[in-house]
Amino acid sequence: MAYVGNQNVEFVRTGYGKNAVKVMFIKRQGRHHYLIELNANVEITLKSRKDYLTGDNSDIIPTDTIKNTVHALAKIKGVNTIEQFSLDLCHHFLTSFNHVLRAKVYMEEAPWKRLNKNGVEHAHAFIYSPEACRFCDVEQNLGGTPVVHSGVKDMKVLKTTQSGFEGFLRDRFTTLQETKDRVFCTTVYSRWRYNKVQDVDFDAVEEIEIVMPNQHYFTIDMTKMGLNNKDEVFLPLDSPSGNITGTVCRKQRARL
Amino acid sequence: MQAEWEELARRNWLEESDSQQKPIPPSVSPGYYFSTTNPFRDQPNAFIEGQEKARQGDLNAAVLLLEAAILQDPNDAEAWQMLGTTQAENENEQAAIASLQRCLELRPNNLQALMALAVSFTNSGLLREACDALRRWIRHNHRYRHLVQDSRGPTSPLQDVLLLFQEAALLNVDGVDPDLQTGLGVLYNLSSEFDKAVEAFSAALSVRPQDYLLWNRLGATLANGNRSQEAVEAYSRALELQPGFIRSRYNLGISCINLGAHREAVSNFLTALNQQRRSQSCSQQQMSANIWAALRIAISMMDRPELFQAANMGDLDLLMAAFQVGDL
Repeated sequence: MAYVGNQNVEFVRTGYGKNAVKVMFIKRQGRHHYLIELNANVEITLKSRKDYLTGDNSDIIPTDTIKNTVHALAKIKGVNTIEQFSLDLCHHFLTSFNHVLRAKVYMEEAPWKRLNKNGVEHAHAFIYSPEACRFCDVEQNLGGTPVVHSGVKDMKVLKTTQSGFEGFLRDRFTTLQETKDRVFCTTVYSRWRYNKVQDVDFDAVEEIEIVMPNQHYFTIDMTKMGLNNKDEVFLPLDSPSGNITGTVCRKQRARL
Repeated sequence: MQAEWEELARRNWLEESDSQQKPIPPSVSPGYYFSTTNPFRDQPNAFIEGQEKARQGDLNAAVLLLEAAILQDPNDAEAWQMLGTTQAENENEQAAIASLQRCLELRPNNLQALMALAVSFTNSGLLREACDALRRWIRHNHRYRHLVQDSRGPTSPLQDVLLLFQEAALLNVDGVDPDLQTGLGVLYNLSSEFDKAVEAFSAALSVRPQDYLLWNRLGATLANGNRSQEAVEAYSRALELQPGFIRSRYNLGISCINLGAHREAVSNFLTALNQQRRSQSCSQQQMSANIWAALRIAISMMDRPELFQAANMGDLDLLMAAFQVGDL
Protein backbone atom coordinates (compact mmCIF):
# COMPACT_ATOMS: atom_id res chain seq x y z
CA MET A 1 0.00 0.00 0.00
CA ALA A 2 1.53 3.29 -1.01
CA TYR A 3 1.80 5.82 1.79
CA VAL A 4 0.66 9.31 0.98
CA GLY A 5 1.95 11.87 3.47
CA ASN A 6 -0.62 13.92 5.33
CA GLN A 7 0.43 17.34 6.53
CA ASN A 8 -2.60 17.81 8.76
CA VAL A 9 -2.23 14.73 10.94
CA GLU A 10 0.64 13.51 13.06
CA PHE A 11 1.24 10.88 15.70
CA VAL A 12 0.92 11.89 19.32
CA ARG A 13 1.55 8.55 20.93
CA THR A 14 1.72 4.93 19.88
CA GLY A 15 1.98 1.68 21.75
CA TYR A 16 0.79 -1.88 21.62
CA GLY A 17 1.05 -5.02 23.66
CA LYS A 18 -0.73 -7.86 25.39
CA ASN A 19 -3.27 -7.48 28.15
CA ALA A 20 -4.30 -9.92 30.83
CA VAL A 21 -1.34 -12.25 30.67
CA LYS A 22 -1.80 -14.58 33.62
CA VAL A 23 1.00 -16.43 35.28
CA MET A 24 1.41 -18.38 38.47
CA PHE A 25 4.88 -18.90 39.87
CA ILE A 26 5.83 -21.41 42.54
CA LYS A 27 9.13 -21.48 44.41
CA ARG A 28 9.89 -24.57 46.43
CA GLN A 29 12.32 -24.41 49.32
CA GLY A 30 12.30 -27.91 50.72
CA ARG A 31 8.80 -28.52 51.98
CA HIS A 32 8.02 -24.80 52.16
CA HIS A 33 6.40 -23.52 48.96
CA TYR A 34 5.96 -19.93 47.87
CA LEU A 35 3.24 -18.86 45.49
CA ILE A 36 2.53 -15.75 43.48
CA GLU A 37 -0.15 -15.43 40.82
CA LEU A 38 -0.27 -12.36 38.65
CA ASN A 39 -2.12 -10.71 35.81
CA ALA A 40 -0.07 -8.43 33.58
CA ASN A 41 -0.70 -5.82 30.90
CA VAL A 42 2.43 -5.16 28.88
CA GLU A 43 2.76 -2.34 26.37
CA ILE A 44 5.75 -1.25 24.31
CA THR A 45 6.36 1.70 22.00
CA LEU A 46 8.58 1.25 18.95
CA LYS A 47 10.84 3.79 17.28
CA SER A 48 9.31 3.64 13.83
CA ARG A 49 5.69 4.01 12.85
CA LYS A 50 5.90 2.04 9.61
CA ASP A 51 3.62 -0.63 10.99
CA TYR A 52 0.88 1.99 11.30
CA LEU A 53 1.62 3.76 8.04
CA THR A 54 2.51 1.12 5.48
CA GLY A 55 1.68 -2.20 7.08
CA ASP A 56 5.35 -3.10 7.28
CA ASN A 57 5.60 -5.60 10.11
CA SER A 58 9.35 -6.13 10.09
CA ASP A 59 9.88 -4.31 13.38
CA ILE A 60 6.91 -5.69 15.21
CA ILE A 61 7.40 -7.98 18.15
CA PRO A 62 4.11 -9.91 18.05
CA THR A 63 1.90 -9.60 21.10
CA ASP A 64 1.99 -13.39 21.21
CA THR A 65 5.74 -13.07 21.69
CA ILE A 66 5.15 -10.55 24.43
CA LYS A 67 2.92 -13.08 26.16
CA ASN A 68 5.56 -15.79 25.75
CA THR A 69 8.18 -13.41 27.11
CA VAL A 70 6.20 -12.92 30.31
CA HIS A 71 6.04 -16.69 30.74
CA ALA A 72 9.72 -17.20 29.94
CA LEU A 73 10.97 -14.41 32.18
CA ALA A 74 8.97 -15.83 35.06
CA LYS A 75 10.99 -18.99 34.58
CA ILE A 76 14.36 -17.31 33.91
CA LYS A 77 14.28 -14.57 36.54
CA GLY A 78 11.69 -15.92 38.93
CA VAL A 79 8.99 -13.81 40.48
CA ASN A 80 9.56 -12.30 43.93
CA THR A 81 7.28 -9.30 43.88
CA ILE A 82 5.11 -7.85 41.15
CA GLU A 83 7.18 -4.67 41.25
CA GLN A 84 10.46 -6.48 40.65
CA PHE A 85 8.98 -8.65 37.91
CA SER A 86 7.53 -5.57 36.21
CA LEU A 87 10.97 -3.94 36.36
CA ASP A 88 12.49 -7.08 34.86
CA LEU A 89 9.99 -7.07 32.00
CA CYS A 90 10.62 -3.40 31.18
CA HIS A 91 14.35 -3.94 31.33
CA HIS A 92 14.09 -6.92 28.99
CA PHE A 93 12.15 -5.12 26.28
CA LEU A 94 14.34 -2.04 26.39
CA THR A 95 17.63 -3.91 26.29
CA SER A 96 16.91 -6.91 24.07
CA PHE A 97 16.03 -4.75 21.10
CA ASN A 98 17.37 -1.49 19.79
CA HIS A 99 14.06 -0.18 18.47
CA VAL A 100 11.89 -0.17 21.60
CA LEU A 101 11.48 3.34 22.98
CA ARG A 102 9.32 2.72 25.99
CA ALA A 103 7.92 -0.13 28.04
CA LYS A 104 4.94 -0.05 30.40
CA VAL A 105 3.73 -2.84 32.64
CA TYR A 106 0.64 -2.93 34.83
CA MET A 107 0.40 -5.92 37.11
CA GLU A 108 -2.06 -7.22 39.66
CA GLU A 109 -1.35 -9.85 42.25
CA ALA A 110 -3.91 -12.49 43.19
CA PRO A 111 -4.62 -12.36 46.91
CA TRP A 112 -3.45 -15.81 47.92
CA LYS A 113 -2.85 -16.09 51.67
CA ARG A 114 -1.09 -18.92 53.38
CA LEU A 115 -3.48 -21.09 55.41
CA ASN A 116 -2.99 -20.42 59.07
CA LYS A 117 -3.98 -22.52 62.09
CA ASN A 118 -3.36 -21.19 65.60
CA GLY A 119 -0.65 -18.91 64.31
CA VAL A 120 1.15 -21.70 62.50
CA GLU A 121 1.48 -21.17 58.77
CA HIS A 122 0.91 -24.03 56.40
CA ALA A 123 3.84 -25.04 54.22
CA HIS A 124 1.93 -25.36 50.97
CA ALA A 125 -1.75 -24.60 51.37
CA PHE A 126 -3.28 -21.24 50.56
CA ILE A 127 -6.65 -19.57 50.58
CA TYR A 128 -7.85 -16.91 48.17
CA SER A 129 -8.50 -13.87 50.38
CA PRO A 130 -9.73 -10.97 48.33
CA GLU A 131 -9.70 -8.36 51.07
CA ALA A 132 -7.60 -6.13 48.89
CA CYS A 133 -5.89 -6.30 45.54
CA ARG A 134 -2.22 -5.33 45.27
CA PHE A 135 -1.12 -3.83 41.99
CA CYS A 136 1.76 -1.93 40.50
CA ASP A 137 2.67 -0.12 37.33
CA VAL A 138 6.14 0.45 35.99
CA GLU A 139 7.03 2.68 33.09
CA GLN A 140 10.47 3.17 31.63
CA ASN A 141 11.84 5.06 28.64
CA LEU A 142 14.92 3.93 26.77
CA GLY A 143 17.90 5.39 28.62
CA GLY A 144 15.76 6.49 31.53
CA THR A 145 15.15 5.32 35.05
CA PRO A 146 12.00 3.31 35.70
CA VAL A 147 9.06 4.98 37.41
CA VAL A 148 7.37 2.67 39.86
CA HIS A 149 3.94 3.08 41.37
CA SER A 150 2.44 0.57 43.78
CA GLY A 151 -1.05 0.39 45.08
CA VAL A 152 -3.93 -1.26 46.80
CA LYS A 153 -7.47 -1.40 45.47
CA ASP A 154 -10.84 -3.05 45.99
CA MET A 155 -10.46 -2.90 49.75
CA LYS A 156 -14.04 -2.55 50.93
CA VAL A 157 -14.54 -1.40 54.51
CA LEU A 158 -17.62 -0.42 56.44
CA LYS A 159 -18.54 0.98 59.83
CA THR A 160 -22.03 0.92 61.32
CA THR A 161 -21.77 3.95 63.56
CA GLN A 162 -19.67 6.99 64.50
CA SER A 163 -19.87 8.53 61.10
CA GLY A 164 -21.90 11.67 60.42
CA PHE A 165 -22.30 14.41 57.90
CA GLU A 166 -23.52 17.87 58.85
CA GLY A 167 -22.75 21.54 58.50
CA PHE A 168 -22.58 21.39 54.71
CA LEU A 169 -23.57 24.13 52.33
CA ARG A 170 -27.25 24.30 51.43
CA ASP A 171 -28.58 25.85 48.25
CA ARG A 172 -31.89 25.61 46.40
CA PHE A 173 -30.97 22.16 45.03
CA THR A 174 -30.04 20.69 48.42
CA THR A 175 -32.49 18.18 49.90
CA LEU A 176 -30.05 16.09 51.95
CA GLN A 177 -30.77 15.97 55.64
CA GLU A 178 -27.98 16.38 58.14
CA THR A 179 -27.13 13.32 60.18
CA LYS A 180 -25.02 12.73 63.25
CA ASP A 181 -24.82 8.99 62.84
CA ARG A 182 -24.92 6.77 59.78
CA VAL A 183 -23.52 3.65 58.16
CA PHE A 184 -20.39 4.45 56.22
CA CYS A 185 -18.91 2.20 53.52
CA THR A 186 -16.13 2.75 51.03
CA THR A 187 -13.74 0.89 48.75
CA VAL A 188 -10.21 2.11 49.11
CA TYR A 189 -8.04 2.75 46.09
CA SER A 190 -4.59 4.00 46.93
CA ARG A 191 -1.57 4.37 44.68
CA TRP A 192 1.84 5.66 45.63
CA ARG A 193 5.02 6.44 43.82
CA TYR A 194 8.51 5.32 44.79
CA ASN A 195 11.35 7.74 44.59
CA LYS A 196 13.89 5.14 43.52
CA VAL A 197 17.46 6.19 44.09
CA GLN A 198 20.65 4.21 43.81
CA ASP A 199 21.33 4.06 47.53
CA VAL A 200 19.03 2.26 49.88
CA ASP A 201 16.47 4.93 50.71
CA PHE A 202 13.79 3.73 53.03
CA ASP A 203 12.00 7.04 52.70
CA ALA A 204 11.15 5.90 49.22
CA VAL A 205 7.46 6.69 49.10
CA GLU A 206 7.02 10.05 47.52
CA GLU A 207 3.43 10.68 46.78
CA ILE A 208 0.20 8.91 47.67
CA GLU A 209 -3.05 9.17 45.78
CA ILE A 210 -6.23 7.95 47.45
CA VAL A 211 -9.65 7.58 45.85
CA MET A 212 -12.58 6.49 47.97
CA PRO A 213 -16.17 6.26 46.84
CA ASN A 214 -18.92 6.77 49.38
CA GLN A 215 -21.09 3.70 48.92
CA HIS A 216 -24.45 4.54 50.29
CA TYR A 217 -26.77 2.46 52.39
CA PHE A 218 -30.19 4.03 52.87
CA THR A 219 -32.62 3.27 55.65
CA ILE A 220 -35.73 1.85 54.02
CA ASP A 221 -38.84 3.81 54.84
CA MET A 222 -41.42 1.26 56.01
CA THR A 223 -44.01 3.63 57.38
CA LYS A 224 -46.41 2.79 54.54
CA MET A 225 -46.29 -0.80 55.75
CA GLY A 226 -46.96 0.31 59.31
CA LEU A 227 -43.44 -0.62 60.45
CA ASN A 228 -41.01 1.53 62.38
CA ASN A 229 -37.61 0.83 60.87
CA LYS A 230 -35.14 2.22 63.40
CA ASP A 231 -32.07 2.21 61.15
CA GLU A 232 -32.07 -1.58 61.19
CA VAL A 233 -32.87 -2.49 57.59
CA PHE A 234 -30.94 -0.80 54.82
CA LEU A 235 -30.98 -0.69 51.06
CA PRO A 236 -27.47 -1.02 49.56
CA LEU A 237 -27.22 1.36 46.63
CA ASP A 238 -24.42 0.77 44.11
CA SER A 239 -24.89 3.92 42.17
CA PRO A 240 -24.66 6.76 42.13
CA SER A 241 -21.90 6.91 44.69
CA GLY A 242 -20.01 9.79 46.14
CA ASN A 243 -16.35 9.92 45.14
CA ILE A 244 -13.62 11.50 47.21
CA THR A 245 -10.03 11.87 46.01
CA GLY A 246 -6.87 13.30 47.45
CA THR A 247 -3.18 13.17 46.73
CA VAL A 248 -0.58 13.90 49.35
CA CYS A 249 3.14 14.25 49.24
CA ARG A 250 5.87 15.00 51.74
CA LYS A 251 6.03 18.59 52.77
CA GLN A 252 9.21 19.87 51.22
CA ARG A 253 11.59 21.05 53.89
CA ALA A 254 14.39 23.44 53.13
CA ARG A 255 17.83 21.89 53.63
CA LEU A 256 20.41 23.48 55.89
CA MET B 1 -6.72 -7.05 58.41
CA GLN B 2 -3.76 -6.45 60.71
CA ALA B 3 -1.82 -9.10 58.84
CA GLU B 4 -2.60 -7.40 55.56
CA TRP B 5 -1.19 -4.12 56.83
CA GLU B 6 1.91 -5.79 58.18
CA GLU B 7 2.36 -7.56 54.88
CA LEU B 8 2.11 -4.31 52.99
CA ALA B 9 4.53 -2.58 55.35
CA ARG B 10 7.09 -5.34 55.03
CA ARG B 11 7.02 -5.39 51.27
CA ASN B 12 9.94 -3.54 49.85
CA TRP B 13 10.52 -4.35 46.23
CA LEU B 14 14.19 -3.47 46.58
CA GLU B 15 14.76 -6.53 48.76
CA GLU B 16 14.71 -10.26 48.18
CA SER B 17 11.49 -11.89 49.35
CA ASP B 18 13.35 -14.09 51.84
CA SER B 19 14.94 -11.34 53.86
CA GLN B 20 12.20 -9.86 55.99
CA GLN B 21 14.55 -7.41 57.65
CA LYS B 22 13.63 -3.80 58.24
CA PRO B 23 15.11 -1.32 55.76
CA ILE B 24 18.63 -0.17 56.69
CA PRO B 25 18.57 3.30 58.28
CA PRO B 26 20.95 5.76 56.63
CA SER B 27 23.11 6.09 59.76
CA VAL B 28 24.34 2.57 59.12
CA SER B 29 24.64 3.15 55.42
CA PRO B 30 25.90 0.42 53.12
CA GLY B 31 28.70 2.64 51.88
CA TYR B 32 29.34 5.18 49.20
CA TYR B 33 28.20 4.45 45.64
CA PHE B 34 30.87 5.58 43.24
CA SER B 35 29.98 6.79 39.74
CA THR B 36 30.11 3.94 37.27
CA THR B 37 32.01 5.88 34.62
CA ASN B 38 34.57 8.43 35.78
CA PRO B 39 36.58 10.25 33.12
CA PHE B 40 39.04 11.42 35.84
CA ARG B 41 39.71 7.96 37.23
CA ASP B 42 43.48 8.13 36.78
CA GLN B 43 43.92 11.87 36.90
CA PRO B 44 46.99 13.02 38.80
CA ASN B 45 46.34 15.76 41.39
CA ALA B 46 42.70 14.80 41.36
CA PHE B 47 42.12 16.15 44.88
CA ILE B 48 43.55 19.60 44.14
CA GLU B 49 41.60 19.82 40.90
CA GLY B 50 38.46 18.69 42.69
CA GLN B 51 38.91 21.44 45.24
CA GLU B 52 39.31 23.98 42.45
CA LYS B 53 36.21 22.79 40.61
CA ALA B 54 34.21 23.00 43.84
CA ARG B 55 35.45 26.53 44.37
CA GLN B 56 34.37 27.41 40.84
CA GLY B 57 30.93 25.98 41.50
CA ASP B 58 31.16 23.03 39.12
CA LEU B 59 30.02 20.58 41.77
CA ASN B 60 29.46 17.55 39.56
CA ALA B 61 32.98 17.72 38.18
CA ALA B 62 34.31 18.24 41.70
CA VAL B 63 32.53 15.10 42.86
CA LEU B 64 34.03 13.01 40.06
CA LEU B 65 37.53 14.33 40.73
CA LEU B 66 37.24 13.71 44.46
CA GLU B 67 35.92 10.21 43.81
CA ALA B 68 38.96 9.63 41.60
CA ALA B 69 41.28 10.85 44.35
CA ILE B 70 39.64 8.42 46.76
CA LEU B 71 39.82 5.51 44.34
CA GLN B 72 43.54 6.22 44.09
CA ASP B 73 43.91 6.47 47.87
CA PRO B 74 40.92 5.12 49.81
CA ASN B 75 42.33 6.34 53.14
CA ASP B 76 42.49 9.98 52.18
CA ALA B 77 40.33 11.40 54.97
CA GLU B 78 40.50 14.92 53.64
CA ALA B 79 39.18 13.79 50.27
CA TRP B 80 36.30 11.93 51.96
CA GLN B 81 35.49 15.07 53.94
CA MET B 82 35.51 17.29 50.89
CA LEU B 83 33.45 14.77 48.94
CA GLY B 84 30.89 14.78 51.75
CA THR B 85 30.52 18.53 51.92
CA THR B 86 30.48 18.83 48.14
CA GLN B 87 27.77 16.19 47.78
CA ALA B 88 25.69 18.05 50.37
CA GLU B 89 26.08 21.27 48.36
CA ASN B 90 25.12 19.23 45.32
CA GLU B 91 21.89 18.14 47.03
CA ASN B 92 22.84 14.47 47.40
CA GLU B 93 22.30 13.91 51.09
CA GLN B 94 22.76 10.15 51.26
CA ALA B 95 26.08 10.37 49.42
CA ALA B 96 27.15 13.16 51.77
CA ILE B 97 26.35 11.09 54.85
CA ALA B 98 28.21 8.04 53.53
CA SER B 99 31.31 10.12 52.71
CA LEU B 100 31.39 11.98 56.00
CA GLN B 101 30.97 8.79 57.98
CA ARG B 102 33.88 7.24 56.10
CA CYS B 103 35.97 10.34 56.86
CA LEU B 104 35.16 10.03 60.55
CA GLU B 105 36.12 6.36 60.57
CA LEU B 106 39.58 7.53 59.48
CA ARG B 107 39.66 10.73 61.55
CA PRO B 108 37.17 10.54 64.43
CA ASN B 109 38.00 14.03 65.67
CA ASN B 110 37.47 15.91 62.41
CA LEU B 111 35.35 18.85 63.53
CA GLN B 112 34.22 19.99 60.08
CA ALA B 113 33.06 16.51 59.18
CA LEU B 114 31.17 16.18 62.47
CA MET B 115 29.37 19.48 61.94
CA ALA B 116 28.55 18.68 58.32
CA LEU B 117 27.28 15.25 59.35
CA ALA B 118 25.08 16.81 62.03
CA VAL B 119 23.58 19.07 59.36
CA SER B 120 22.94 16.15 57.02
CA PHE B 121 21.33 14.11 59.77
CA THR B 122 19.16 17.09 60.66
CA ASN B 123 18.02 17.40 57.05
CA SER B 124 17.20 13.70 57.05
CA GLY B 125 15.07 14.00 60.18
CA LEU B 126 17.47 11.87 62.25
CA LEU B 127 17.41 13.82 65.49
CA ARG B 128 19.28 11.37 67.69
CA GLU B 129 22.11 10.93 65.20
CA ALA B 130 22.40 14.71 64.70
CA CYS B 131 22.62 15.30 68.46
CA ASP B 132 25.20 12.56 68.74
CA ALA B 133 27.37 14.18 66.07
CA LEU B 134 27.15 17.56 67.76
CA ARG B 135 28.00 16.06 71.13
CA ARG B 136 31.08 14.53 69.54
CA TRP B 137 31.91 17.93 68.04
CA ILE B 138 31.98 19.53 71.50
CA ARG B 139 33.88 16.60 72.98
CA HIS B 140 36.66 16.93 70.36
CA ASN B 141 36.78 20.72 70.50
CA HIS B 142 39.65 21.95 72.67
CA ARG B 143 37.84 25.04 73.80
CA TYR B 144 34.73 23.35 75.06
CA ARG B 145 35.49 19.73 75.82
CA HIS B 146 35.71 20.38 79.53
CA LEU B 147 32.02 21.15 79.61
CA VAL B 148 31.03 17.60 78.75
CA GLN B 149 29.76 15.60 81.72
CA ASP B 150 28.39 12.10 81.52
CA SER B 151 25.32 12.19 83.70
CA ARG B 152 22.99 15.11 83.39
CA GLY B 153 19.81 13.70 84.77
CA PRO B 154 16.67 12.68 82.93
CA THR B 155 16.66 15.08 79.99
CA SER B 156 16.35 14.31 76.31
CA PRO B 157 19.44 13.96 74.08
CA LEU B 158 18.45 17.16 72.30
CA GLN B 159 18.09 19.18 75.50
CA ASP B 160 21.37 17.76 76.80
CA VAL B 161 23.47 18.83 73.87
CA LEU B 162 21.60 22.13 73.48
CA LEU B 163 22.54 22.96 77.07
CA LEU B 164 26.17 22.10 76.28
CA PHE B 165 26.23 24.44 73.31
CA GLN B 166 24.54 27.22 75.25
CA GLU B 167 27.10 26.92 78.05
CA ALA B 168 29.87 26.95 75.46
CA ALA B 169 28.47 30.13 73.90
CA LEU B 170 28.58 31.83 77.31
CA LEU B 171 32.34 31.21 77.42
CA ASN B 172 32.86 33.44 74.41
CA VAL B 173 32.65 36.84 76.09
CA ASP B 174 34.81 38.67 73.58
CA GLY B 175 33.59 37.39 70.30
CA VAL B 176 31.43 35.00 68.38
CA ASP B 177 32.60 31.51 67.47
CA PRO B 178 30.86 31.01 64.10
CA ASP B 179 31.20 27.24 64.21
CA LEU B 180 29.65 27.06 67.66
CA GLN B 181 26.87 29.34 66.49
CA THR B 182 26.33 27.02 63.52
CA GLY B 183 25.91 24.12 65.93
CA LEU B 184 23.42 26.16 67.93
CA GLY B 185 21.56 27.04 64.77
CA VAL B 186 21.29 23.36 63.85
CA LEU B 187 20.05 22.45 67.33
CA TYR B 188 17.43 25.18 67.34
CA ASN B 189 16.23 23.86 63.97
CA LEU B 190 15.85 20.44 65.59
CA SER B 191 13.91 21.91 68.49
CA SER B 192 11.85 24.01 66.07
CA GLU B 193 12.90 27.22 67.81
CA PHE B 194 13.43 28.87 64.46
CA ASP B 195 13.77 32.44 65.68
CA LYS B 196 16.64 31.46 67.95
CA ALA B 197 18.21 29.53 65.10
CA VAL B 198 18.00 32.64 62.92
CA GLU B 199 19.81 34.60 65.63
CA ALA B 200 22.54 31.97 65.82
CA PHE B 201 23.19 31.86 62.07
CA SER B 202 23.03 35.65 61.88
CA ALA B 203 25.67 35.83 64.61
CA ALA B 204 27.86 33.43 62.64
CA LEU B 205 27.37 35.53 59.50
CA SER B 206 28.50 38.67 61.34
CA VAL B 207 31.93 37.03 61.54
CA ARG B 208 31.84 35.37 58.11
CA PRO B 209 29.64 37.46 55.83
CA GLN B 210 30.98 35.79 52.67
CA ASP B 211 30.20 32.26 53.79
CA TYR B 212 27.58 31.08 51.30
CA LEU B 213 26.91 27.92 53.31
CA LEU B 214 25.86 30.07 56.26
CA TRP B 215 23.59 32.19 54.07
CA ASN B 216 21.89 29.02 52.88
CA ARG B 217 21.52 27.74 56.44
CA LEU B 218 19.99 31.03 57.47
CA GLY B 219 17.64 30.85 54.50
CA ALA B 220 16.60 27.27 55.22
CA THR B 221 15.92 28.16 58.85
CA LEU B 222 13.77 31.10 57.80
CA ALA B 223 11.93 28.92 55.30
CA ASN B 224 11.23 26.13 57.78
CA GLY B 225 10.01 28.81 60.18
CA ASN B 226 7.55 30.04 57.54
CA ARG B 227 9.42 33.26 56.80
CA SER B 228 9.60 32.46 53.10
CA GLN B 229 10.13 35.97 51.76
CA GLU B 230 13.17 36.52 53.97
CA ALA B 231 14.38 33.05 53.07
CA VAL B 232 14.41 34.04 49.39
CA GLU B 233 16.64 37.00 50.21
CA ALA B 234 19.09 34.81 52.11
CA TYR B 235 19.24 32.22 49.31
CA SER B 236 19.82 34.97 46.77
CA ARG B 237 22.83 36.13 48.78
CA ALA B 238 24.18 32.58 48.85
CA LEU B 239 23.73 32.20 45.09
CA GLU B 240 25.37 35.56 44.40
CA LEU B 241 28.42 34.30 46.27
CA GLN B 242 28.31 30.85 44.65
CA PRO B 243 26.08 30.53 41.56
CA GLY B 244 26.79 26.79 41.35
CA PHE B 245 25.38 26.13 44.81
CA ILE B 246 22.79 23.55 43.84
CA ARG B 247 21.32 23.05 47.31
CA SER B 248 20.54 26.72 47.70
CA ARG B 249 18.88 26.87 44.31
CA TYR B 250 16.81 23.84 45.29
CA ASN B 251 15.83 25.60 48.53
CA LEU B 252 14.97 28.74 46.59
CA GLY B 253 12.62 26.67 44.43
CA ILE B 254 10.94 25.26 47.52
CA SER B 255 10.34 28.76 48.89
CA CYS B 256 8.91 29.79 45.54
CA ILE B 257 6.43 26.94 45.83
CA ASN B 258 5.51 28.09 49.35
CA LEU B 259 4.99 31.63 48.05
CA GLY B 260 2.79 30.37 45.22
CA ALA B 261 5.30 31.28 42.52
CA HIS B 262 5.18 27.93 40.78
CA ARG B 263 6.68 29.06 37.51
CA GLU B 264 9.69 30.55 39.29
CA ALA B 265 10.03 27.38 41.33
CA VAL B 266 10.11 25.23 38.21
CA SER B 267 12.60 27.58 36.60
CA ASN B 268 14.95 27.24 39.57
CA PHE B 269 14.71 23.46 39.66
CA LEU B 270 15.34 23.20 35.93
CA THR B 271 18.36 25.49 36.21
CA ALA B 272 19.79 23.33 38.97
CA LEU B 273 19.21 20.09 37.06
CA ASN B 274 20.70 21.58 33.93
CA GLN B 275 23.80 22.67 35.85
CA GLN B 276 24.22 19.14 37.14
CA ARG B 277 23.67 17.48 33.79
CA ARG B 278 25.78 19.88 31.82
CA SER B 279 28.76 19.49 34.08
CA GLN B 280 30.20 16.24 32.88
CA SER B 281 27.68 14.57 30.59
CA CYS B 282 26.30 12.73 33.57
CA SER B 283 23.37 10.38 33.31
CA GLN B 284 20.06 10.77 35.06
CA GLN B 285 21.46 8.86 38.03
CA GLN B 286 23.84 11.69 38.82
CA MET B 287 21.19 14.39 39.00
CA SER B 288 19.64 14.97 42.39
CA ALA B 289 16.54 12.90 42.97
CA ASN B 290 15.30 15.48 45.49
CA ILE B 291 15.26 18.16 42.84
CA TRP B 292 13.30 15.97 40.44
CA ALA B 293 10.79 15.23 43.20
CA ALA B 294 10.35 18.92 44.01
CA LEU B 295 10.03 19.72 40.30
CA ARG B 296 7.23 17.18 39.96
CA ILE B 297 5.41 18.76 42.86
CA ALA B 298 5.77 22.27 41.45
CA ILE B 299 4.50 21.20 38.03
CA SER B 300 1.64 19.23 39.56
CA MET B 301 0.39 22.52 40.99
CA MET B 302 0.29 24.11 37.55
CA ASP B 303 -2.38 21.96 35.92
CA ARG B 304 -0.29 21.12 32.86
CA PRO B 305 -0.68 17.33 32.59
CA GLU B 306 1.58 16.95 29.59
CA LEU B 307 4.40 18.70 31.44
CA PHE B 308 3.76 16.58 34.52
CA GLN B 309 4.17 13.51 32.36
CA ALA B 310 7.45 14.88 31.02
CA ALA B 311 8.59 15.51 34.60
CA ASN B 312 7.58 11.98 35.54
CA MET B 313 9.71 10.53 32.81
CA GLY B 314 12.67 12.83 33.39
CA ASP B 315 12.53 14.66 30.07
CA LEU B 316 14.67 17.65 31.01
CA ASP B 317 15.00 18.99 27.46
CA LEU B 318 11.29 19.21 26.88
CA LEU B 319 10.76 20.96 30.20
CA MET B 320 13.59 23.42 29.63
CA ALA B 321 12.10 24.33 26.28
CA ALA B 322 8.61 24.67 27.74
CA PHE B 323 9.79 27.01 30.48
CA GLN B 324 12.40 28.75 28.37
CA VAL B 325 15.26 27.90 30.66
CA GLY B 326 18.45 28.22 28.68
CA ASP B 327 22.05 27.55 29.59
CA LEU B 328 23.41 29.97 32.19
